[in-house]
Amino acid sequence: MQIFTICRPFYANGWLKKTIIIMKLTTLLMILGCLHLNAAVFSQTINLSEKNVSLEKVFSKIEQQTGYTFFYRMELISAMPNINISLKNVTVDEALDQFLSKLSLTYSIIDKTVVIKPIQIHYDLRQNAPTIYIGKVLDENDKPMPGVSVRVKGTNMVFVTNQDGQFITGIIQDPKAILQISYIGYENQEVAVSTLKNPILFKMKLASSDLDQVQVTAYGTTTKRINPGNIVTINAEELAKSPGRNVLEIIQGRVPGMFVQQMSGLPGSPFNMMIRGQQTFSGGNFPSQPLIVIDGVVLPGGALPKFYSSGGSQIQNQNLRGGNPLDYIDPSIIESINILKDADATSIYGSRGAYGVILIVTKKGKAGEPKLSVNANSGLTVRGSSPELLNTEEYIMLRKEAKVNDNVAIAAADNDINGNWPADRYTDWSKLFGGRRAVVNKVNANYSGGNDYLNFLIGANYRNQASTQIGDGAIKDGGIHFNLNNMTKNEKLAITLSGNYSSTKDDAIPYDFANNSVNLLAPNAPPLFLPDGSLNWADNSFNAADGTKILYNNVTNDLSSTLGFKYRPVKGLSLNASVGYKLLSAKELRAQPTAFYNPATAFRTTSTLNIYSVRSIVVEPNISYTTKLAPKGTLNVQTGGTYQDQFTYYNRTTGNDFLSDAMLYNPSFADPLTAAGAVNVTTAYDQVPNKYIGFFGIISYNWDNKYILNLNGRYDGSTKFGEDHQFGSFGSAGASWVFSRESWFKGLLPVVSFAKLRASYGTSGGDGVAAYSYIATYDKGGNQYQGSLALTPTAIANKDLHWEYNRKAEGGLLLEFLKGRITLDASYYNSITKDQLVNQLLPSTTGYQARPINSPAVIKNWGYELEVSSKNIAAGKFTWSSRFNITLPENRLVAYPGIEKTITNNSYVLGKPIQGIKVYNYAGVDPETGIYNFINRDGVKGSYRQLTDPATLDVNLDRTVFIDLTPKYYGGLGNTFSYKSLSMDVFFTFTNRMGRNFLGSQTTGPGFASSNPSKVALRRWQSPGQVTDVAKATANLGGLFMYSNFLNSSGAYSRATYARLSNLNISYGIPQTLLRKVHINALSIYLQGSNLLTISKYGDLDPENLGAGTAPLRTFTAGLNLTL
Amino acid sequence: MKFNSKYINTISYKLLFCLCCCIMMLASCKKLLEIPLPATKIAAEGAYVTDRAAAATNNNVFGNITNSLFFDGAQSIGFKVGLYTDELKNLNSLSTLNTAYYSSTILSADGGPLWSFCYKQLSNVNLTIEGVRASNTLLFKNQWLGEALFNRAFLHFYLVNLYGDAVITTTSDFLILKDLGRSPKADVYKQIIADLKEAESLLANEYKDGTGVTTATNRARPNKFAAKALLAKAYLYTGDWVNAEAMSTEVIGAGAVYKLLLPADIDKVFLAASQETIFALQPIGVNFERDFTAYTNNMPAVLPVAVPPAAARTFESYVGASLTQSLLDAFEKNTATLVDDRRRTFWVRSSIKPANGAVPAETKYFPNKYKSSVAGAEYIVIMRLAEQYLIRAEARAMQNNFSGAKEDINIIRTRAGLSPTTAENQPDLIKAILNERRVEFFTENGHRLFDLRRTGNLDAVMNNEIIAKGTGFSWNTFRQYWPIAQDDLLSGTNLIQTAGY
Repeated sequence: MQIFTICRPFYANGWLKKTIIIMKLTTLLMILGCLHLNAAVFSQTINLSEKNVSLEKVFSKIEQQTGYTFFYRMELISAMPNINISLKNVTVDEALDQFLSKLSLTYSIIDKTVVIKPIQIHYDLRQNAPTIYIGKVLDENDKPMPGVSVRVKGTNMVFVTNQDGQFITGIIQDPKAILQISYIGYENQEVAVSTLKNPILFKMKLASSDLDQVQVTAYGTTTKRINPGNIVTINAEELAKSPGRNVLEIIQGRVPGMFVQQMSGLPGSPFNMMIRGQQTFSGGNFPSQPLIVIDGVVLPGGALPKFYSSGGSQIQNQNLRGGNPLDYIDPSIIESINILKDADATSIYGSRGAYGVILIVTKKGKAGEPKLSVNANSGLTVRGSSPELLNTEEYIMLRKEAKVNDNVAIAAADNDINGNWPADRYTDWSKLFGGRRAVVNKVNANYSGGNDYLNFLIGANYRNQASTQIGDGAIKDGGIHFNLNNMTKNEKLAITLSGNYSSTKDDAIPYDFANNSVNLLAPNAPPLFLPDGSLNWADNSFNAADGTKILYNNVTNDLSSTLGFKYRPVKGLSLNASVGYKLLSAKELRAQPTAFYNPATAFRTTSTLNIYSVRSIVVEPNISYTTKLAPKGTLNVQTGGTYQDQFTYYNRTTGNDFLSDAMLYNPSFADPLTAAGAVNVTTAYDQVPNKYIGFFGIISYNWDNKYILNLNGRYDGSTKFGEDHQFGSFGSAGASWVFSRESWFKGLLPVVSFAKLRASYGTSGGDGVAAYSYIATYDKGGNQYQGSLALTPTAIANKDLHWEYNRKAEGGLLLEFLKGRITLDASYYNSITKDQLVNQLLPSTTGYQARPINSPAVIKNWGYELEVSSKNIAAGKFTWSSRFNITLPENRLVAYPGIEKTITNNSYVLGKPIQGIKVYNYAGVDPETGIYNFINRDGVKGSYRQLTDPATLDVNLDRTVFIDLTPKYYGGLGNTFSYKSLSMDVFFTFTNRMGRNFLGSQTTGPGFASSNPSKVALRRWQSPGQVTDVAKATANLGGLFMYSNFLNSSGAYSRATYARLSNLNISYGIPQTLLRKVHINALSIYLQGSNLLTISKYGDLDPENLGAGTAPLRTFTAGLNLTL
Repeated sequence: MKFNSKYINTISYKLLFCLCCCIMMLASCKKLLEIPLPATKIAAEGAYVTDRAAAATNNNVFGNITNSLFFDGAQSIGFKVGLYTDELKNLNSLSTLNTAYYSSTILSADGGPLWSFCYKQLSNVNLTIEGVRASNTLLFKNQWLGEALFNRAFLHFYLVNLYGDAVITTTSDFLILKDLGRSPKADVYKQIIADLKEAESLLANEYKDGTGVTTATNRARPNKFAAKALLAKAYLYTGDWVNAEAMSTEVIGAGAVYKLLLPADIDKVFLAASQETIFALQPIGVNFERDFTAYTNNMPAVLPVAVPPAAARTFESYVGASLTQSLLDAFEKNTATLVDDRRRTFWVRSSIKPANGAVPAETKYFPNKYKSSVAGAEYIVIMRLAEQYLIRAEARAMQNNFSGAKEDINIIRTRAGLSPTTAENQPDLIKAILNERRVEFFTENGHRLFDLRRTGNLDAVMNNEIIAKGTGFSWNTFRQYWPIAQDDLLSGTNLIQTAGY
C-alpha cells in the first residue's frame, strides 16, 4: 500500500522538508509538490481533441506533442475507461488536471517525466497542515453517488462527486473547517475535518421523512419541515411509476384536497379537477379551475379554441370538448408537481390562485459526470368498464314483450322484430366502436451533467398512443427539452435557461362513440359497414357510423422556454428575474369526405381548417433580501411583480362542396359560390387578448426553524375588468410553530420526533369571466336592412364587474413518530367565496337571457385532509412503506340574497351543496302496473306521466329530493414493497359520490326500438305483484313520459362508491456487479398497469366518469430504464 | 432579544430601494394593462363614430323586426290576433300554437316569445339612443336618433297593447333593467308620446336611406310624418282627441307625399311604391311578404279533385287560416249600385273545393292583401294613410265634429267604392268607424284586438265569437292581454304575470 503525503505549498510555509516522511517516494513528492505548483515553468501547450480514446493513447499523444514521457503501471491504466478529451492550448498539468482526477488518478512531473498513480492519500501531517481530502460518497444501497456536493462550510469551495462517487477537495488550510455533504432528497451531513482520515467514506442517508422533500413555492423553495402553507409535492420518481398519459391522471388520488375526474378515457379528453371543492357556481364546464404554472409560465386556462362540428350523427358532448393543455406535457419531463392549496401558499399568486395552484417544475441539469438515461416502454390500452348489453334473443324478447304490454301489433316499421332483420344476427356495437386494443409506446431520454457552476440537461421524448375506438387514428407526440444552469465562480450571477419543444399529431376520430346512441343499436340491426369498409346505406337511411369517415388531423406545436436570472451583488441581496414564453400553435383539419355521405343523396362535402395559437409571456422580476435579525432569526423580504400577456386566436376557413376529396385539405379550394349564389367558403377569426399585472411583497421571518411567520401582500390588475375595477388587493398571513424544538417537548413525548402546528389565513380573487365582459360590444351580422349591413349588440356593459373574493383559512398539524417511521399530516380548511362571477339569468326585459355579474351568493367549502405515511418494515433487504390520504370535503351554499326571487338554477338550495340537483321523489316500480311511481309534493304517489295520466309533476315544485353530487370522500392508498432491487408499488384510489346510474343515463328503457339497455333490463317487471326496480317493457308514448319523469327523479341516481387499483408498478434493478462489466450504470426493467381493477357496486358504467363517454382506459406496459 | 441596529439600517435601505422600484412599476402598470378592442366585435363607442355604423345599429333593429315574422306571415301579430279575435278561422288544428290562439287559451309559453323579442330590440334601441346622443362625429345624428326613438315608441306601443302594463325601458344598463317591474299603461303611453315628440322634432320630412341620403321612393325608415302618424295613433289610444286630430291632420296635409289611391288602384295599396304608405318594412334579401305563404301560397281558385292514389290537397295543406263568416259579412255593398266593397273584391280571394262524391263543394275566403311571391314587390306596410283618416274621423266624432268625422269616413268609403255613411250621431259614427277599421285593416298588425278593446267592445264580440268558433272554451275578460314568459317571472325580481294568468 502506498501512502502519499501532501506537501504544504512553499509559499504557505516556505519549508517543506519537515513534512516529508517515511516512504520511498518522499523525496520525489516534495519536488513534485513544488513542481506542481509551479507547473507554468515547464509548460508547453497541448492541442488534443479525441473521443472515446484509451488513456494510453492520450498519454502517447501528449508525449508526441510535448516530449514528456509518461510512467505508469500498465494494469492500472488499462483498467480505466475510455475518455473524451478536448484540449486547446493548455499546459501539461492543466491537461492532466482535466481528466485524471475524474479517474481517481493523480500524477507527478519530474523533469520531463510524468508519473501516473492512483489517488490514495493519507493524512498524517501536523494539526495545522493544509490538506486535501479524498473520499467517496455512497447511497443507502452502498452504490456510489455522483453529483453530491461537498462544500467547505462558510466558503464558496464546493466539490462534486464524480461518476464513481469520488471526490477530491482542494487544499483546505483551516483545520477547523467543516465539510457539508448534501444531495437533494438526502439528509445533509456536516463533519469537521479534524475528525476525518483520508480516504473518507460518506454514507448518505435518505431524508428521513417527507419533511425534507423540496417543495416549490411561487418564488422559491421550502420544505415541509418549516412551511406554514399547505403544499403537496409529487416528484418524478412517483410519476414514473404510472403509465398515464396526462400528469393529472397520474396524480389522481395522490393529493389530498384535489379531486380529479377523467371525463373520458379517450386520450386528449379534458379533466374535471378541483382543489378543495367547487368554489363558484359556474364559469364554463369546469368551474373553479386551478392555475397551472410550468417553470414559471402560466398555462392557458380553459379549453383550447378547437373546432367542433356536429356533422353527421355525432354531437360532441360538451364535457368532452376542449382537451386539456397539460396533455401536451409529457410526464417524463416533469421533475416535480406541486399543488398549492391554502392561503399562504397561493396568495402570492393573488387573483390567479383563488382556486389553487399547480406548479410544475421540469427536469433540471444536475452536477456530476454526464449521464445518459433512457426509459422506454411499450404496452396496450383497452377500454375500461362497459355495459354488458343484451343479446339478440333477449333484445327481441323485450321488444315483443313491450308490444304485448302496450297492446299494439308489430308494425311494418319494426324491422328489428318483424322479420326484416334476422333474429339470429348479432353485433356488439359497443365493442365494434370502442373495443379495440390500442398500442402505446413511449420512450424518453435524458442526458445531464456538469458541475456546480455549469450544468445541463438535454432530453427527448416520444409517445404514440393509438385509439381504442374504431378507425386508425392515433396521437403521436414527441419533443425535446433542455436546461442549462450557469453560475459565475464567485456565485454572484446565475443564469438558467430551459426550453421544451413538442409536437403532437392527433388524427384519431374526434368523437367519443361511447357517448353515442350507436352503442345501443338493436343487436340484429344491419351492418353499418360493407365488406370493403365503406358505409352500408342499403338498410340505413342514416348511418350512425358515418363519424368514422371523418378526416381529422390536428398538429399542435408547443414551445415553452424560461430564462432565469439571479444576481447577488452583496450578501443577502438577490435580484431575480425570469422571463417565460410559451407558444402553442395548432393546425386542425376536420373534413367530411364523400365516404361520409349516402351517395344516394345530394350531399356537399365540407372541410374546415382551424389554425389557432395561444401565446403567453410572463415576466417576473423580484428582489429578495435575507439577513440575520437577532442571533437565531432570519428575515427574508421579497418584493416584485408579474406581468403576464396572453394572446389567443383562431382563424378558420370552411369550404363546402368540393369537386374532389383530394381538395378537402385546403378548404379554400371550394368554389366561392354555389350555382345558386350561396357562399361556399367562409372564414372566421377571433382573438382574445388577456393581460395581467401584479405586485407582491413577502416578509418571512424564521426564528431558529422553530417559529416561522410569513406575510404576503399582493396588488393585482386584470384586463377582464373595467377601468375602475381592474385592481384588487390580496394578502395572507401564515405561521408555523415547530413545537418539537421546544425544550419542554423533548422529554415529553420521546416517540414523537417532530411536531409542527401551522395556520394560515388570507384572501385571493378570481377573474374567471370572458374577456371584454365589462364593455358593450357589437358584432357585424344579424339582419341586413335595405341592403345595408347591421351591427348587432353582442354584450351589454357591466362596468361594475370586479374581482371575485375568496377567503381561505387553514390549520394543520404535522407529526412525525419514531424518527420518521410514521408521518401524519392533518389539515382543516375553510374557504368562503363571494362576489363570484357568474352568468346571472336575466329577465328578457333586459334584452339578454344571461350576463356575467358578481353574484351575491356566498359559498362555503370546508373539509379535513389526512395524509399518513409509514415505513412499516425497513429492516434488512426487505422494506415496506405505505402512504394513505383521504379528503372529507363539504360544500354549502350559505347565503343567496333573493334566491327565492332570483332562481338562477333550479338546483341551488340554501344550506345545500352547490354541486347537486333537485329531482322528483322516486317511489319505485308499482308492483301492480309495472311502471315507475313518484311521490309529489303533497306526498301522493302516482306515475304522473304527461298526457297519459290525469295529474303530472310540476317541473319546479315537485322536485322535492336533493341529490348531493359532491364527493363524500376520496383519497388513495399506496404501498411500496422492495426486496433487494425488486420493488413493487400498488396504488389504490377511492371515491364516494352520487352519480347517474345506467338506466338513469338512457333516454329510453327496455322495449324501445334501438335501445339496448344492458342486462339490467332483464330485471324488468313482468307480472302483477312482482317487486323489482326496472319498469315493464314498453315502447309507447306513456313509456316515453315515464322515462322523462324517471330521468329527473332520485331513481336515476345511485351511489358511485368505488375503489380502483389505479396503478401497479413492478420494477427490478439489474445488479450493479453485472452492469459494471458492460459499462452500464444502472438498468431496471419494469411492468406497469393502470386502472387494473375497480371494486364498485355502481354497475355497468364506470364510477369515475359516470358514463359521460369512454370509460378511463386500462393500460398495461412493460419497459426498461437504462442509465449510461 | 437584542436587535442589531446595523441590520435594521441595512434593511430599511434595501426596502426603500425595493419600494422605489415598485413605484416605478406601478406608474406604468395602467399602460401595461391596455389591450386591443375585440377583433370580431367592436366596442360600443366604436359603433357611433361613423354614420354607416350608427345606421347599422338601427338596421339591426329594423332588420330583426322585419325578419322576425312579427308583422308578416303565419306567425305574425296580424295572424295571431286574427285567430284570437273574430277575423280568422283556424285551418291548421295540428298546430298547438294556432289552436291556442284560436281558442283564446294561450299560455305564457305562447305569449312570452313576442314579449322577449320586443325587449331584446328595445335594449338594442336604447344602446343606439345612448350611443348616438353621446357621439359628436355623426353627420346625420338627428336621423339615427330619431329612428331609434321612433323604434322605442313603436316597440313600447306593441308591448302595452299586447300585454297591458309593461316594463318601460329607457336605458341599456341591465343592472337597472333586471329589477324593473311593469308600469301602468298610462305611464307607458307617456313614454311613447315623449319619445315620438322628440323623434318628430329630429326626423326630416323626407325619407332617408341607411347612408342618410334622401330617397324618393323607399319608405322603409321612419320620417317626421311616420312619427306624427304613430303619435296620432298614441293620442287616439289614450283618448287625447284634440292632439290625435291635430297630428293626423298634419300627416294628411303633408302635401303630395301621401295620397289615397284611386278606387281602381286599391289592389296596389301594399306595393313597394304605394303612396298610401307612411312607414313600411322592406323585406330582406330574397324574402317576400310572407302573408303570401300564410294565405295564398299558390292555392288555385279551384282545388283539383285528386285522382287516386295521389292524396287530395286540402285548404289546410296550403294555408293556415281562412276568413271568418262574421268578417265577410262586415263588408258592405254600395247601396246604389249594389257593387261589392272594392276591398272585398281585391283584398279577399276565394278557393273552391269541388264536390267529391258525398262531400259537398266548399268555398273558403282568404286575405289577399299581399299577392306577390316576388322579392321586393310588396313591403310590409306598418302605417298607411287610410288609418290617419280613420283616426281623425274618430277624434272628430269624439269631439262631436260629426260632419268632419263623416267627411273622413266617406273619403275611405269612396276609395272602396262604397256609398257615404249613414251614421249621424256619435255612437253610430263610432260604430261605423269601428266597422270601417275592421274591413280596412283586417289581418293587419293586430288592429282588430286593439280596436275592440279600446272601444269597449271586446268582451261582447268575443263572447259571441267564441261560441261561433266552437272550440269548447269560453272567453274571459283577463284574456284581453297576453301572458309573459314564465322564465321572466323567475329571473326578474319585480316582474309579475299578466293578471289572470
